[in-house]
Amino acid sequence: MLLRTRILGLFALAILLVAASVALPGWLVLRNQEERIVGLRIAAQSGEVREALDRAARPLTAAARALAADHAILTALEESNQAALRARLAALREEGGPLSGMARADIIGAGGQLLASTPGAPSEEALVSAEAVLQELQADGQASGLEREPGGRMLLVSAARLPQGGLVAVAGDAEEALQGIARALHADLFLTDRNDRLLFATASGSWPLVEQALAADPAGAAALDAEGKTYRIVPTALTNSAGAPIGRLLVLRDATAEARRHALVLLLAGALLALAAATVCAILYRTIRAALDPLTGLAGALRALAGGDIYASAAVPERRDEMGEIAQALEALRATGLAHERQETRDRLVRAQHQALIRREMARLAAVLEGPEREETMALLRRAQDHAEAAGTSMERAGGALALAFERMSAQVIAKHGQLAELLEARTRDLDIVRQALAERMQLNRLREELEVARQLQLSSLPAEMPSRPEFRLHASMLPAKEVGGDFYDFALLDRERLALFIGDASGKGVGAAIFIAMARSLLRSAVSRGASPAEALAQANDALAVDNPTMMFATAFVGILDLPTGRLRFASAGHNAPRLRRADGTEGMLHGPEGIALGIAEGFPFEDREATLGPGDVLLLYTDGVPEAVGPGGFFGDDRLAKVFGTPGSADPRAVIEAVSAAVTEFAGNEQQADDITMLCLHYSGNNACTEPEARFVAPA
Amino acid sequence: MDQSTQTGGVVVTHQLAGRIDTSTSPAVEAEIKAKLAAGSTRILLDMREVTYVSSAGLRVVLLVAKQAKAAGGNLALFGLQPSVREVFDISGFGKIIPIAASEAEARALIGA
Repeated sequence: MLLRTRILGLFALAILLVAASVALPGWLVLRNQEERIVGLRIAAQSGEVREALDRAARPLTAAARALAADHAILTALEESNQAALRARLAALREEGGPLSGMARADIIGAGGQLLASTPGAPSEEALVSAEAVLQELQADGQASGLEREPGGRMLLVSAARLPQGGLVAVAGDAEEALQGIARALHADLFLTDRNDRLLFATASGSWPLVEQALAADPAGAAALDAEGKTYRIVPTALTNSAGAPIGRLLVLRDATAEARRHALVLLLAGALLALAAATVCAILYRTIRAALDPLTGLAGALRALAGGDIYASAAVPERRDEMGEIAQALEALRATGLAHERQETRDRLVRAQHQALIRREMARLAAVLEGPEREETMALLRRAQDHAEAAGTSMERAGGALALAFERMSAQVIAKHGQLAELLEARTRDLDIVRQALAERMQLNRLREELEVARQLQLSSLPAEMPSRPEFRLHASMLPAKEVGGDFYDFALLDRERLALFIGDASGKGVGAAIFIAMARSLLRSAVSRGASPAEALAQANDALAVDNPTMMFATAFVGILDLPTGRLRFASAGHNAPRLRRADGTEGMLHGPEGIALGIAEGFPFEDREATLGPGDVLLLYTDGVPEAVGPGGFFGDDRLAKVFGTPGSADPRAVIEAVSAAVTEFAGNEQQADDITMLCLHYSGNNACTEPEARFVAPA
Repeated sequence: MDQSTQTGGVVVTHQLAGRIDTSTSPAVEAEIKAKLAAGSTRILLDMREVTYVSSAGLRVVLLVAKQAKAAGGNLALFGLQPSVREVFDISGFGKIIPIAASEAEARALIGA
């Protein structure tokens, strides 16, 4: 049910309740008042009736008193002369007497017996009950009431006390009195007995109605409607002169006007109440309506808004109360919704742009891939594009396809990158190697240069010019296996008559050997030039070289000093190959000497000199073991082959000899690499005789 | 160049074979030196399978002999082939390095 309806209903109910709570007590009060009024009416009427009856009974009372005071009666009483009483009574009834017009008069004795009555009593019964009346008389001195004659006639009786104790009761026609009352009251009277039987009525035509009303309400106080008028019945209880009830007097009054007035007042009150209620209702209705009216509109707009229709609004006039606040809030909500929608549209657009951008860049990036991977990526990109362009595709789906393409491409690019990284690493390693190699090569070049320098040094240090003397011819050659050699040869003219010859071979090859042999050479040379014999020179050199030689380098050496005039050769060997000597007659052999030990190992070794004599035409060949130990396909060159070559008679020219041997060795070696330094020193001794062959001046091999 | 060693505590026998020249001598030198450092100071060199000794080989022998001596031990060779013996003889090193004809003799030489 609508809120408005509920509120209105509640309010109406409240008003009704209020009205009821006003009306109900009012009605109850009215009712109560009515009852009271009825009571009052009855009381008032009772009073009126009583008064009227009293008034009507006055003459009766006066008559009764008069009688009670009548001398004659009194006397008769005393005499108990009933006849006198009757006569007096009759006399009094005469015109002008106190009893004229009276219906009856009784004189009642103290015991209640009827003493006399006028007119003649239809019965022996007194009008009234003496005892009761006497009692009543004692009470207020007057007793009057209505009595019913046995014949049915209503009498108004009034009693007076007799001095002797008895009563005088005088009765008048009640009907007259009643009529008088009726006139006085402006109403109709109905006299009923104790059984509600009608005794007397002023308007007997209305009796049926009254009877009906009585039947309905035996109490007698009722209202009845007849012929468009409203009548009220007010009962009054009637008592006789003894005070006992004998019936009722029902007064039928015309209460129409009163009733009408009453009704009118009630109507007015009710109308006022209703009007007030209605007015309040109307005002409330209007107010609530006006207050809640916008609510419908707002509710509708809110519902629409919740349903997604952001353009719905409620046309609510500006108000400052809660409705106004709600309306403002609704507007704010709408504005937010609109802004949100606009934002969303913008976002969608931006997102689409982003996706397009990403797709473009991805397509570019895919260029770094190759072959099948590239194809895959491009295909996924195309699909993503189709998704994006297809109408009705949600942002999410388009984004999802793009994300998939991106993921794949990402994986491929990473894999590719990994490959490239490995490749780079490998190349870097290679580069490092190359750089290292370059550095080494540079170093090598430097070393080579230095070696070349050393080589030049070494070679140039060898005696440049062969001495030119008639006694001998000399030739030497040195072929290092490496850039520098570990061999040396040397010769020097010590003085005009002595020629020193040296040859040596340091262990190993190369720079180490060259340095060692250089040392050995200088030592030997300086020793000999100081005058040492070959053995002494070897010993000195040996001792010097043996000191501080932890690597055990050694050098074999041969020193010879030739006395040119005599041809005497003094020589010593330190572990060196024995020289070969070819005599002029062609015999060839080795020049053995005491076995010395190679230089540099055993300090203090005793070297020994030996002597041999050269004859003219003898050829001496000093050589290092590079000759016999030259390696060829057939093994070592060997001493035998050397002997053969050297021993072959041919030119005695030292140069030719050396060349021959060299040629033999070269031929023997074939393609084999030179194993050791090949050094030779060849001397041809011609003695003091003039040589037969022309001197050849030559230069040491370069 | 093969070599194998038999160790008997302080005494060690190195069996050398093939060529002892510039290329192979470093290995020989290292092996003998290692055993020497481990305490085997009395060294026997079994030369029966050695075919050729160059000056580099000679140097190695001289070197380890000197070190053995310095460590309180000794070194001896035995079983030299004629060509190899000749090298020792010519260089004169046969005079300073004990060379025996047999293993027993070699042992006796170094006091093992």
